[in-house]
Amino acid sequence: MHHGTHFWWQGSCWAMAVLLALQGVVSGQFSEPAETVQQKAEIPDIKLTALLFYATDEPEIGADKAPLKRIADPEKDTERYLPALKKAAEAPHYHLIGRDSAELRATYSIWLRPSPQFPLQIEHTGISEDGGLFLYWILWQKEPVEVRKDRELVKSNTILTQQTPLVIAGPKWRGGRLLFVVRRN
Amino acid sequence: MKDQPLTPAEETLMRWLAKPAGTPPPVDTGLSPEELTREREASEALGALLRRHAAPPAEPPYPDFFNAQLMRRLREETTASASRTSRVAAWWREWWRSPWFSGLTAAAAAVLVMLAFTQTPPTTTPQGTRVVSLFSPEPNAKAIALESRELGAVIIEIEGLESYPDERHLVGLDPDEENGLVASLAR
Repeated sequence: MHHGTHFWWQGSCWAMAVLLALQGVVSGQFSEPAETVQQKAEIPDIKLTALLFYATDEPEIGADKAPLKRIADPEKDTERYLPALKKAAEAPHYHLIGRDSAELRATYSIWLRPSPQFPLQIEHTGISEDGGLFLYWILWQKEPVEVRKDRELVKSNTILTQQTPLVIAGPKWRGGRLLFVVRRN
Repeated sequence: MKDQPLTPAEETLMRWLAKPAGTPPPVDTGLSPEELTREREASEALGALLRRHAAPPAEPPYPDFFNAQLMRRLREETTASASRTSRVAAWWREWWRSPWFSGLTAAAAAVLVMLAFTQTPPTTTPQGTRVVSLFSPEPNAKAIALESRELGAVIIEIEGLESYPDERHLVGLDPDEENGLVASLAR
């Protein structure tokens, strides 16, 4: 074999090796987290719940805001999440005003609407080795029809476990603050 | 058998025997002059016998020729070693230049590098909820996560988030209720 041809061939091989190695590095950095061990199609029936709290100085929701009222709280969620809610809003009173639940789907997003104005879009992307759920979620704020574009307040990739809920300190509103709790049932 | 040290009389006798003949005999050997004479005769006879049978000292007859032989041997051995080294180098060059060898090496290098970057330690211990990535597309807003073990929750704070307009309605939903809408905050 001619030396020039040979070294061109060998150089090509090395260039290919370097490209393959770089591809390995890049795919390792930007692919899904390595903790994902279970495919999306294999998820069992898992239910998520979103709660909406209104943190305010008012011990009761005033008549001026009628027909506002608290919703039923049979599982005492307000009491259960009170320390975390206080950390998020530092208000003296917390009123549970919305709740929604849905089962995770492997192939499409689910929507949790504790309030129609603040829907949560959640997509399941896998299960971690310790049983946590890989979730890609967006908290939306619905805008009036004339605006024509809803707003994404916050978006995240989160590993959600059954023991630890997610508390999102949302926007302020009428002297209080909206707080969202997302938990795995 | 362990050697016994010579007595002073024996040592004196040995020293006298080692001297040339005619040396006056020592007086402290404890032997009579006749016995001394017999000892010397026996010693000389043994010496003559040994000289008769022992090989003469072998010295190279021509030192220059001997050194030349040594140098020739050294040259031969050095050349043989260099020849072996050059054979290995030639074999290596031949492999290095073969096309399939370079391809194989490239593939092996790529596999090794990929393996090095894709190996991750297994995580099996439950670690609780954790935020992998977080972002707020809102202008001037910044989302941060506070993972608190004491509170048993992960709190997400959005700094600089614009308030929800007071003039807008807010409706809360409860799927357990018949109409599904029980809380309505409206002005």
